[in-house]
Amino acid sequence: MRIQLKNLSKQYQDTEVLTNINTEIREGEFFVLVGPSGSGKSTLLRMIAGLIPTTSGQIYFDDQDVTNDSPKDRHLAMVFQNYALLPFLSVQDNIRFGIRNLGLSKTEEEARIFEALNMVHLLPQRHRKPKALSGGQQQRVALARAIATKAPLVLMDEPLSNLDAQLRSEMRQEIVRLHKEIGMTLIYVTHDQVEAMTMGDRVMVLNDRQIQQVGTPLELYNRPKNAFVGEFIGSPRMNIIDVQVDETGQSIQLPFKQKNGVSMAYHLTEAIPSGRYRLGIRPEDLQVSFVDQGSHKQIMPVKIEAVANLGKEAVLTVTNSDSNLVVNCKTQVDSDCRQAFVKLPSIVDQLHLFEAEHGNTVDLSDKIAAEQRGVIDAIS
Amino acid sequence: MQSRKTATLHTPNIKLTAVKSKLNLRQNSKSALWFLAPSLIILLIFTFYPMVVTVINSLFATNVRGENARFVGLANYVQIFKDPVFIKSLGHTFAYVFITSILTIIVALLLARLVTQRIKGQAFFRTAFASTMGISAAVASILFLFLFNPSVGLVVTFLKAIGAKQTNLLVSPTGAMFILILSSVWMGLGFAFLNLLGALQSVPESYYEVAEIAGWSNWMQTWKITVPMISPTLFFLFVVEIIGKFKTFTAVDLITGGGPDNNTNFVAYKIYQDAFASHNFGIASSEAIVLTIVIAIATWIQFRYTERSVFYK
Amino acid sequence: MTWLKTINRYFWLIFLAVITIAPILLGVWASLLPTADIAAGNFMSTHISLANYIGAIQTTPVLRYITNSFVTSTLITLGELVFCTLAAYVFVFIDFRCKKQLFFVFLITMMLPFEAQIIPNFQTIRSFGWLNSYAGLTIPFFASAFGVFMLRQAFLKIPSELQEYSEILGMNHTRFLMGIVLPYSRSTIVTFVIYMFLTHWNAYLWPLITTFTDAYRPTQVGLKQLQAEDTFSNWGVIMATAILILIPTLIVLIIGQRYFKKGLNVGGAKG
Repeated sequence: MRIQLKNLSKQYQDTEVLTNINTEIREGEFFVLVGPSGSGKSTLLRMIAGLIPTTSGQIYFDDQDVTNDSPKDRHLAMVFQNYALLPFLSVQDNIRFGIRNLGLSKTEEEARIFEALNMVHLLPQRHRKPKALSGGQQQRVALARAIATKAPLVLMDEPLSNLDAQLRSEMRQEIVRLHKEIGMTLIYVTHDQVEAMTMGDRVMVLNDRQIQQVGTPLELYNRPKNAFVGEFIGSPRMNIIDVQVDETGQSIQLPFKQKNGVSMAYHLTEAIPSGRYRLGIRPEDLQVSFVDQGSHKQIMPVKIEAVANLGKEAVLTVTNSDSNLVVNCKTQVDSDCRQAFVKLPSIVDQLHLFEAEHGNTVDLSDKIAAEQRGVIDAIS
Repeated sequence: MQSRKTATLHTPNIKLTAVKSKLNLRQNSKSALWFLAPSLIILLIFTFYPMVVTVINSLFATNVRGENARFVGLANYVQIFKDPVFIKSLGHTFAYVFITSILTIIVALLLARLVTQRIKGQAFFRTAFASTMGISAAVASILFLFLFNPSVGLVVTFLKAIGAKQTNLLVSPTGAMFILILSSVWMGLGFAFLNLLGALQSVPESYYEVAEIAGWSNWMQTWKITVPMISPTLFFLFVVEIIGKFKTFTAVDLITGGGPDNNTNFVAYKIYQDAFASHNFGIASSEAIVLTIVIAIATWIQFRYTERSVFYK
Repeated sequence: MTWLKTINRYFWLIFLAVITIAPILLGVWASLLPTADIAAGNFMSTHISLANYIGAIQTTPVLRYITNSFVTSTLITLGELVFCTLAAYVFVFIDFRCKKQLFFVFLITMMLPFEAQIIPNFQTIRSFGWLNSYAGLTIPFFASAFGVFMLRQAFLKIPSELQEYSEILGMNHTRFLMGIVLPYSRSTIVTFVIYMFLTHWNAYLWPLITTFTDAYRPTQVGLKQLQAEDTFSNWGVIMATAILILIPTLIVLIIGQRYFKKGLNVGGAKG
């Protein structure tokens, strides 16, 4: 099923919850709605489901306007955060309850229950009550209940957020596998960017009532449209550094100093309006070393404030000239270590320049000379 | 521009959207409002209408046929507050209500404290202490009548054995009151006990562990942890007891008949007598309004300060 | 030291337990003794028999009273369950103008004592021709604000997702109520039924006023009737009757014990 949202808006009394949502979800796509709490993603999902009336705009399912259709006429299935299982029914009766309204023959009903339970590996538990199952198993029941309806569209509302970390990553793979096997259109709401990145074919980032960006996970990671997306996608978070572009419009002045005390700056071949900007650099794009290589235009000495060893790698919080940076280090770091050297990236794709006020991305790729494209100089 | 326009068109819908509601079913189904009708009709006929009639009756003098004969304003109220029997009735009702409520809670708390800790036979003692819960006022009254019966009662036999002069407690004002209080405390014990037990058990064990580590004495633990933690339940029980006891009728009707000398003629019983024995509806109604005011105030306090979540969640 | 404490504790526990259940135990004991022995103060009598029970059943209308109580309590409980469920459903699952105000109207009824309404209610029942009838004994109690609150509390615990789920399945109000809401609130429903049944089984004032014959007189008032008649001096029979009346109460309590404990705090709001 193909879904189109056209100029969709939602207001409660005087509060606007969603403004002018336009997007298209493709047939068979795993589409993730991600955003912080209060961003309106759950509201949007419920508007697609028909549980919440729209204030304005239209929803199309396969070119058919369903904006005013009741939920049951939209032929979809939904999986909820708290599973919404009926505690007084056994696992298989819960699934039967969900397909009873489809008017199937008894044999077809049984076959669907069997098939769905088989897909989520819960056949042995089919006579149990939900309370006798673990959280992960309960969520599998909820998935099976959605699968059994064979609805061309399945909506999932933070289905994994009640599970512990271990189970969550297991269930992530499970849901991706089920989607591949069944091939339905799947709209998945989460606040967890890791889920969005690892599961979605495409991801819509919502914040502040509006779509921030729609794209594949790598598009969002590599080319965030604004500071919010840049910060929201990726872990640890992107460093956002307040910078100044001087009067020439060609020098991005950083709040960092090299070992010899010279301020650092990026140089542009083409001018941009001077003024304040925010520069985003991902922790994994910064290189750290513990060997003093003398003064280098891209390298600065830093003081290590905190070390978080993750085993194979480490996340360091460092400072230079009172500015903080988070750095991903590919090796283990001795927690007594106090001193290091950080090399700023020189590849233009690793630099994300945002307007100070609205946070919109300033495209840097055409702001450097052709022969240098892809590489930017850090100069003294 | 166009979306703006549509937004205005939808405004009436938005108005219906209450704070929590997001659902179609919640809003688009006024038909379900008929679900309220049965309850409303019954309440209208058997609660609100009689309340209004009682207020009206209280403003009229009643003739011999039990009809409202003539409007007398507040004269009935003036009369009942000049009537020594009613004043006595009110005073003794208050005394009975407060003594009973406080005693019930104290004894129930004592019992609950005794079985809170894990001990052998816990289940048996709990059942024993809770056993009075379902017993009706009528059965309890008969049991106590039997215990205090002047010729065959066990208590009387016991009193005789220890050489008491006055063995028929029912003929002495304090004796009759004593029996009513005793039977009433006994009846209320099970309910108060179970509530307090629940409250005591819901105090997190870790609080006591912290106090233990800090070296607090048992006394300190009781006063600084237990009492504050169960005080909502104590207060709730107290108000509930007051509301319930103020309406005491059955025990009076069966055990003392209001006597001796109107000493246990509690308000609810007096209303009944004035209405159905003397057929003085005007007087009975004004007494009923006085009772209503007391109960309404107590209930209001209950709504306001206890178990608030029950009503406003 | 500790075992001394334990013994002390057990002494008090046993002592208090005996005191608490003494009135019932003595009643049961007396119901098994011949009245002659009771009258003579011979409590240590060994003439134990069920003769008083047989006597009560044969010479008093106690079975009729029990039947009446059973019919009225059951009717009221069922009526109340239906009426209160419907009202509570509306207050939890439907949004409408003046919901708060209407809820307040229900709240107010809890502040008005039934004792203050008996005169007009008596007259109403009389004008309906319902005096001394099951209708008069039951219908005024079909609505209960307290019952509505109790069920409302239970319904509020139902996750809103279940309502959304029911909408996706296209369930209407009746199917949502019957298929999800009621089964979900089972334990409260049981508590409700027990509580209401006992309350009305134990009712006294209203049946006292509105019943005149044994044909409709329920147990509690029947007990008074026996007291008023000359059988009253027959303590053995009286005690047997009281115990007979108590037995259904105990059965209901035992059956529902498991649920009753859970719903108790809610039930407590009425007292």
